[in-house]
Amino acid sequence: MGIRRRVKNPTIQRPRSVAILVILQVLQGIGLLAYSLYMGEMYGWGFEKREVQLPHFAPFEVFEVLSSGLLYLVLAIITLYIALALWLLSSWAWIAAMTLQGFSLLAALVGYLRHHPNYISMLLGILLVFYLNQQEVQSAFRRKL
Amino acid sequence: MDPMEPEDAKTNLALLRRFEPVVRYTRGERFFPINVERYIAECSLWVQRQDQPAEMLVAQGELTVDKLVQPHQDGFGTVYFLKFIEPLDIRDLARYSFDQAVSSIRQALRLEQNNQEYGFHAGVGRLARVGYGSRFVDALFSLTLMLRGRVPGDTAIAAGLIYRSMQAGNERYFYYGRIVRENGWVVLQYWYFYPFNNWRSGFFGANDHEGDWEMVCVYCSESDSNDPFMPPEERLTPQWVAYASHDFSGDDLRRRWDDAEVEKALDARGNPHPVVYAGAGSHASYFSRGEYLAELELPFLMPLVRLVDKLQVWWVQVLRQAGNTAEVSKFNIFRIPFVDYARGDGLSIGSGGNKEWKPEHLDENVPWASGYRGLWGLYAKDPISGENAPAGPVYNRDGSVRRSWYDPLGWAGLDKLPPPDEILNVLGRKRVEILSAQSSLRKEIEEKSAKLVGLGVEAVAMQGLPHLEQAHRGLVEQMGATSEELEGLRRELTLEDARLGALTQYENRLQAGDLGPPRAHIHRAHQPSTESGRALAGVAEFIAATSIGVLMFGIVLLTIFARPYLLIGLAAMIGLLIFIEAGFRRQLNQLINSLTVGLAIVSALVLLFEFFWQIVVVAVLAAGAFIIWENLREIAG
Repeated sequence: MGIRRRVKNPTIQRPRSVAILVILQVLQGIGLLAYSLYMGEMYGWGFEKREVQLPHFAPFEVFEVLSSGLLYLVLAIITLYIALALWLLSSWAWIAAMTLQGFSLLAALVGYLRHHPNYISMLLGILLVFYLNQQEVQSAFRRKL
Repeated sequence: MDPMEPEDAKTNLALLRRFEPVVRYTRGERFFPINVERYIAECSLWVQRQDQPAEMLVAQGELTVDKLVQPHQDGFGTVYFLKFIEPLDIRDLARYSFDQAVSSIRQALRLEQNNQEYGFHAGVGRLARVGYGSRFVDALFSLTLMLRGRVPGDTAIAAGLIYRSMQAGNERYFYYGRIVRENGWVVLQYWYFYPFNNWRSGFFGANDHEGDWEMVCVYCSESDSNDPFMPPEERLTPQWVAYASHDFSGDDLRRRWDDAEVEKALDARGNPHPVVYAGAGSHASYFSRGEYLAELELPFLMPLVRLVDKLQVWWVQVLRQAGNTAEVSKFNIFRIPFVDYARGDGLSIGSGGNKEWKPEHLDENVPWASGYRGLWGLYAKDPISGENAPAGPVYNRDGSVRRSWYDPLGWAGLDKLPPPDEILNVLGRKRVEILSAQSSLRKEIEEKSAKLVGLGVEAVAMQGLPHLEQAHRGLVEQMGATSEELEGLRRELTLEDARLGALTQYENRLQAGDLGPPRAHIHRAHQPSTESGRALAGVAEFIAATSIGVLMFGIVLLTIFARPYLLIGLAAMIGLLIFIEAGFRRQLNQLINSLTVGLAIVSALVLLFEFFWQIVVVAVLAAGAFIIWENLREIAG
């Protein structure tokens, strides 16, 4: 699945909502990247299970038992890759971003129910879903639901 | 009104015949339009008074039109009704079932290909076409059938037997035609009476009931030709048609004659007749053949229907989220979906069809039409009314007069349009009106303008004279009021100019023969399911049909054997079923979108719950900052 720019015309009008969407997605990716570095430095890069108290900005608490710097590094790279694809209006980017936010929000809600709330992740997820579902964003990606 | 002269009757019959619709039924249809008097002769007359058992007034075999229309006086809430079907005895039921089984086998062996009563196969079920929310509400609706009044199960079978015996040896198909002249239109109204509606028992629809009235209107303009030899029917030109149908009213009911959706069948003389596709069992009328998703609204769910509709509009229009406002009133999980099969692959009645119509004239002097306000079949005491028989062509169930009877133009939204030949005259009259209004406005503007100038000059003259300060203030106030008045008059004049321009443009288009787009008046139209929409695998349909039931079994099993895991197990079952079905329906993208949006809404509620006051404070601060920003921009700019 390579990033292929759908419209090569440099004068393409990219909706402002797409720009905001990309900024939010990049912020999420940077957060994940920072968290992966923190986890890697503190606990190493392996997949061994640890008893850790996750800080509130951890976006994927559902992976608590598998928490490792490497996992978050992979997630961070995927998130940033999707952000780039969104910027280039790749047709697959919309559904990939939506799926990612689905998992992110699910993880945040599970964390909330398990008394490990991650409100920043929740807020970021809500904003991303809001912009992904905007009419002009959907038109830009011309998805066929 | 005097009874019609024979010559008038002949003319009216010719007019009705000229544009009588061709009705095409779905294979498997068992009931076709019959003669009303013949039906009455098969019925008994009953009365249902409040808090009392139903009482028979006239027994079956003794009922005549004279007895039917005898006036009655009773308390409020009393319902008069006919009863067409008596319960079958076990011998008749067994014989009918045996005949049906034999005929089905013969059909399967292709020995009886021409029997239109058989051969119906349901398409993709209604449940496979809608979401889980609708399916759950539908399951509740099915359960309510056990509690509310309904037409008994073997009634449709008995009705089929009686109908068959009525047609045996004297097979005829009737319509009742009425002609109304109004606002320059000639309205040809065709009423069809079916002895029974077996939509629920025969075609998986919403209801069964005895007696069923359906109606089609053809709206014609009439030329004022001076040719004395021109037959009256040749003076008529059809302009619009309207078919009574589920869930539609006003403009949405009618189509322009030249609309491609209005199919026409030519008779032996080459004259066109509109084609109607009748819903199987329901007999609702459609312009195109196909399978239609009709939605039933339950009165007690109406507040929820309205709430969901409003939320959908807010979602799309205010939040600018993806969705289509035109679809809003069409799909709502609190409306119950049913499929109306109007395939047109069965019997066809009318020009070029398998059978011919037998027309009968109908007007307010026909005794059974205007003299009987009761129901034309069993009163099943169904509070939703779906299983109660309808009233006749003139009346509603509560005895009031139907709009389609007293206002056939307004019923289809045509009361605001003149016939095409008349439009130019109307335009001319409107032009004169506007020109006259403009002339008055100009005169008034001239007067006010002169007055304002006078006031202005006087005010300037008073300036610098202290003893006239109060008078000057009064003048200034007067000037303000006059200036405002003048501005209003000038705006009105401009508007009148624009109206005049619009009329001129329309007039030019009409003179060039352009009537405008034929479907511009339609807000919402029935669309049959598309082939791609129906192209689901059998497995998907099986899952759709069984999913809610399986879920209920699952809940019981989890409760008995694994109560601690009830919630997780239920969520897992629902998730699995939804994903499997979405995969078969190729709607995984839509599913992911819906689920993620759902999770986002839940997350938003969580944030609202946890940080309510913080959110309020931030909102107030943001509003304050916005106001300061706007004001500073104004100062700077």
